[in-house]
Amino acid sequence: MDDRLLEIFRAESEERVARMCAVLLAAEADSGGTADDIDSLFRDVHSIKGSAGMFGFDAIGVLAGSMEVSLADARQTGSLPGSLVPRLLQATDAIRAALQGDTTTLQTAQGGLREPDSVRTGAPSTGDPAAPGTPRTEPARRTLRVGAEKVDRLLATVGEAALHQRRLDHLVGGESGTDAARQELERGESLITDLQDAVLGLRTLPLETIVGTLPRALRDVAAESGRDVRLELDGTDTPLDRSVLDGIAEVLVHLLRNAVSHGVEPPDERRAAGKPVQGVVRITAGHRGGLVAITCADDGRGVSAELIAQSAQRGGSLAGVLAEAGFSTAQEVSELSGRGVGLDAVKRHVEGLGGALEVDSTPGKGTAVTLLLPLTLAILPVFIVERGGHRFGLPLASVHEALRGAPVHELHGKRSLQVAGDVVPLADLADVLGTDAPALPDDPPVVLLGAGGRRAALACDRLHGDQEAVVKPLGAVLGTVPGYLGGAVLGDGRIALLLDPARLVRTVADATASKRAPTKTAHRTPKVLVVDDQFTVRELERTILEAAGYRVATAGDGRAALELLNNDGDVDVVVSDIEMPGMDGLAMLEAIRGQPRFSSLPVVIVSSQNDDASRQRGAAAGADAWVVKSQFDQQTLLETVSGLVDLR
Amino acid sequence: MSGGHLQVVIGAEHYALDVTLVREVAELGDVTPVPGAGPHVAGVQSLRGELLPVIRPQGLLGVAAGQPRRLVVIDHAGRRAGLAVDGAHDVSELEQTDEAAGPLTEGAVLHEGKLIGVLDIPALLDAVTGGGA
Repeated sequence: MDDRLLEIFRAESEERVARMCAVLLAAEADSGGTADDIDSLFRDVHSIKGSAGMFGFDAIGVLAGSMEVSLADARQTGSLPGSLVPRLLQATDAIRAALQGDTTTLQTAQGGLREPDSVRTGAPSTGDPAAPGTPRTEPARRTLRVGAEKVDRLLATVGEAALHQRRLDHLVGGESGTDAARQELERGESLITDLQDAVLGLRTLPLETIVGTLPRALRDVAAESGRDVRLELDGTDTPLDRSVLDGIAEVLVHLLRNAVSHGVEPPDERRAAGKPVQGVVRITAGHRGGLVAITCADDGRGVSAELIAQSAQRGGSLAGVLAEAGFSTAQEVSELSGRGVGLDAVKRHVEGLGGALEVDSTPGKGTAVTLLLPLTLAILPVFIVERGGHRFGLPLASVHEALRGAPVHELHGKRSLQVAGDVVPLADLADVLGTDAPALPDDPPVVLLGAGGRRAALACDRLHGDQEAVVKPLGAVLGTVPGYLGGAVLGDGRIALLLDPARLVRTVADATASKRAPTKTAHRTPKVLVVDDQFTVRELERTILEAAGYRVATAGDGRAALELLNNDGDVDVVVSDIEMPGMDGLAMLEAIRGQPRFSSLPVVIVSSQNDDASRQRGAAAGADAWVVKSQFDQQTLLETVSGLVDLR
Repeated sequence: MSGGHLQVVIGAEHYALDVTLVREVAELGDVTPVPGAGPHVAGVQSLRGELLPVIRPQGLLGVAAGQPRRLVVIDHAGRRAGLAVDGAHDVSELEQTDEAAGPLTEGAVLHEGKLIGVLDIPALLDAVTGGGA
């Protein structure tokens, strides 16, 4: 058994015991307590029961099981009998003592719980130190529970120290410095690096540090429930903030228990259903849109079709339906998974961390429970680049090098960079992101990325180097936008979106040469999008523009124009009316400006309105030019359009 | 629909939001665009250290452009976002309405001489999320 895990278990259980004591005392003062109090006690005791056995504290597990039984009635009635409270308090004290190595009071407490309402024997028995399953009694290893904000402050200070070191280096480490000064500076730098690693080590750990207990837990549950199951683990190198990780071991055990005893069928049933006799429970972890997703999936019977129908009625949240307190998916309540309290506790825990719980199930095929955990607390070294006035972060682990001046080749319209005898696909970051930006300078700085065994080179305006960043999720609304791992608020308050290197590498490989490449590519006829609800106006403008050599597309209202723009990125300028049914010209303009890749697409308003207020509204919405219909003539339109297209 | 509603101005039009879905009204700050997030997402803004998606509702509602200055922070079933509006005013009880006025409104009411569209926040969030593909 890993001592570190044991410490985590001990600390967690002690927290639970402290909470139970407080709730019990409050319930006593409040003649019976509330249903919430009882639920809280039940969850804590259930959690202790679940994990104690795994850590060799079998006797604690047994006592917690008895407490759970005592609480089951109270849960039904919604009130704690006064006579039960002292006995539960005694049991809580016994668990606390046992966690600290003194198991002598466990038996007494156990006896007290068994006696229904009778008078307890006053004197505690001597207990039985040799009771089966008595855990190690050596003194607990010393650990400190430190508030996360204190570690954060430490980390921030170390960051400041590193900056200070660099300034100092600049002042006295250069040509003018003595050898002795330079030596001391080097020493200081390596100390700060060690310090930084140590502080980061306080905050993050890979998931694998807590999955060690899972195979054993699975074996026990499978044996007790007569199932034949194997466990598969994937992505356990995914790092998680320690404060997120702390409670996850327990949560995964809950999920594993549920998967085995409520999901995977007994061997006979599997054989009859034509499934392999051995079931599979697979735990996978990975990044998903700025969050860490940990999924526990089984190939068992799934939940019933009625339940899925019920969840559909209630907004599609299977997790919500399943997590309702007291719910159990098996018809007969199994001793193993307790009273279906598992998922309720899991959901509360995950949501308490700012995460979410997802459940997906196919009747007969299996169930997958996914914990979406925030990276909110995770600190990541990132490399900051700038393109089009905006900063973006790349996980430092994916950045191979920053270069400038390497030879660029072009073949089949795709550009590549020659790096030490190799050829790596090259693209403008703005093209990869589909955003608008001015052309890159000649010989732009390039960052070389590697992910999934492939490499790619990205050209940017500027490279800002690496820094430690606190990465925040973009939130549920933007969770579906592909390509981002989250965002980081930089020192100057600006936000750098954190890009997913795997997706960048794929996109670069498929991207063709930049349209904004400074080398003049073949001359392309500009395309004008004419938007007007009146057919005659549309056709008039089309005729004029086509006669002058432009390509023209037309749309009858704002919505149609937006659709056309989105499907055809080829438009160079938009000429639009204001008053149109459906989406009018200004709303369309607003929508165009809302899309970063169109933020500098020239838009000319052609309107019968000519008052200042209208013009101001147009300018505020981002119109580049305003042509009044009453003064409309061929020359004005052509001059306006050619002025804007030439600007590009 | 009855109950407390926060009145907002979007462009030159008046809308109202169910106040139970409103977390706070903040200043619209510097918005960082998120390429690929769709036409109705202005970007993300940092609000007390957290990142908040900023929705530009004009295009969705077919409203003429205004000068958004305020941010109405909404939260529905864990989906948090800020709605960029020109102004946010008082909370008032609105008369019941069931007349659908548009795909993203639950209805429209005449209140103190103004026609107010009652926004369907879940539908609005759906529309934004759908537009991100």
